[in-house]
Amino acid sequence: MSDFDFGVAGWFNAWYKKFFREKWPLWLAALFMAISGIMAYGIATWSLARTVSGDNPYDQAKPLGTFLGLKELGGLIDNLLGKIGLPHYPFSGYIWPNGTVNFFRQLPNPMLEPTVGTMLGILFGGLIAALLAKEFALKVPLDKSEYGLAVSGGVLMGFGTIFMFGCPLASTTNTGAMGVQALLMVAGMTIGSYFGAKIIVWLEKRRMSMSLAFADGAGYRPLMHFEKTRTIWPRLPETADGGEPGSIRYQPYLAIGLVLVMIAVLFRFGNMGYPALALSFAAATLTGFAMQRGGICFAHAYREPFLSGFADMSRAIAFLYILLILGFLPMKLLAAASPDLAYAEIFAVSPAGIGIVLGGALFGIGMALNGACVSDSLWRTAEGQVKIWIGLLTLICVSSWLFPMRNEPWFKHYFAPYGSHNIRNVYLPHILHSYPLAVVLMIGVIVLWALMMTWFSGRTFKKYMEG
Amino acid sequence: MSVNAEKPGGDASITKRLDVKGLVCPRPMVMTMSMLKGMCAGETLEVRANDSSVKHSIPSLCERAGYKLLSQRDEGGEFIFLIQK
Repeated sequence: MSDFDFGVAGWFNAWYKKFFREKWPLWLAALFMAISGIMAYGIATWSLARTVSGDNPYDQAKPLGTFLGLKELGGLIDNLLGKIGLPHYPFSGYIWPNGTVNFFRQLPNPMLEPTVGTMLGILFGGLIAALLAKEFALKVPLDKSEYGLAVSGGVLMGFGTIFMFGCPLASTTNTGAMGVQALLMVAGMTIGSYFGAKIIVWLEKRRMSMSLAFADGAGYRPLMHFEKTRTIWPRLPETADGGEPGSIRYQPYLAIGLVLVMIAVLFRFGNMGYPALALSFAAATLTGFAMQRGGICFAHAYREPFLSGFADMSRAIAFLYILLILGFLPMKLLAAASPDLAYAEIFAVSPAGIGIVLGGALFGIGMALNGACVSDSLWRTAEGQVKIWIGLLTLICVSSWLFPMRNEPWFKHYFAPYGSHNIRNVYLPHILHSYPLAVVLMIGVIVLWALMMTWFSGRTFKKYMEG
Repeated sequence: MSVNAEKPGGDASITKRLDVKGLVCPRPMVMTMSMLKGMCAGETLEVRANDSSVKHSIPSLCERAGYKLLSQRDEGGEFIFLIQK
């Protein structure tokens, strides 16, 4: 090999290892997520402008979130399995510039709901990242308790997402959007994660005491003797020379192939009159990629300060929240100055009430038990964690089944009364009559939250060390 | 998941082993912390996991708690850590 070859190959290998094999620092992953979140908000604003000007009314994009996508995927599962009782409403929530929340445009195909594209994009981005890092493997836990945790977590998250009208990923968009709902979501998920962490500690202590009952006299003490994992694919070791099996070695090439196919499909989609949907899918792909590379996990951010005493993920999420507040601001001001785009000013602002805190708490417990929220589940599904698939499927079915409850008058009256008639009543810049004041307040609350999580983590870790 | 005290004839430098393959975050981290808590200073623990969350969490634990991370390797998606308390 010549010096030149060695230099180029060496540089490429080092760069590839740094960017695609090693885990990114959390701040870098949060920065990439913020860029993709801001892109999604910009694409949604642009799609609104196109709709107003008479272009394809079905080519709508939305800021990052998964709530309506869960409902649509539930409907698709219902279609695939036959009628299993899941409601299927092929609607796309849409609010006309007068600020009411009752205008829904019917879609000819549920796949045109932008948040379905967001969910698939996160999954796809996570898959690409996992393949490039050679980290994809189908892992099946044989411990039944893992499935129990996944299903119970999925059910709680299904209820939680209906009550809080969103998921943790939506909480990032909602925080950037400066709605009151965002602050209530953060409060609710923090409370729920606290209790979720307590439940996990209790379960682990119980498991530990059970394991001692299985101790034998040969020094082998199986903690849960029936608990093993099975990696379906790839199988290791496979090669006679001890090298990497092909199923691992070729994963990066598969990733490159999938990216090329994605680019071709998105161009085709754009040419068919759906450029906004294609672009929002691309933005979501970047989100999934960044989440997998950095290991960004909302469940971890909310739970670990109370469980293991680590708050580095909480601070990364706070950094993400703040970047989105600042990143959405220019587009909001632009939209506020244009009557046709008025709705873009209040994208992702939803009615608020005690239901948001309650839903956040249920979701917090659920994601602590499941080990992942919706967006976490998507990129970890792409890593091949079968337990996470079970939790995600349960969450999709439960939230889809409960979705009609959101439209019941009693639900709005008791759980989300504020902003039901005029969404601007729960929009902080409108309440405070000032954008700068709203930005300072939102950032101040997020900084306080990060400090509180850091304090809790210190307390938890001190207890562990002194134990 | 299984844990065992070192069997005769095994690697003498490893005091205990913890196999948490198949478990998903947070359980690998919780079990590792719990295991280390019950060990004496100077003893070594080998942890085997296949949830990618441990790539961040276990080195962070060692750094913060003052445990010595003797080695860390990735064997086709199986992450193996050797930690000295």
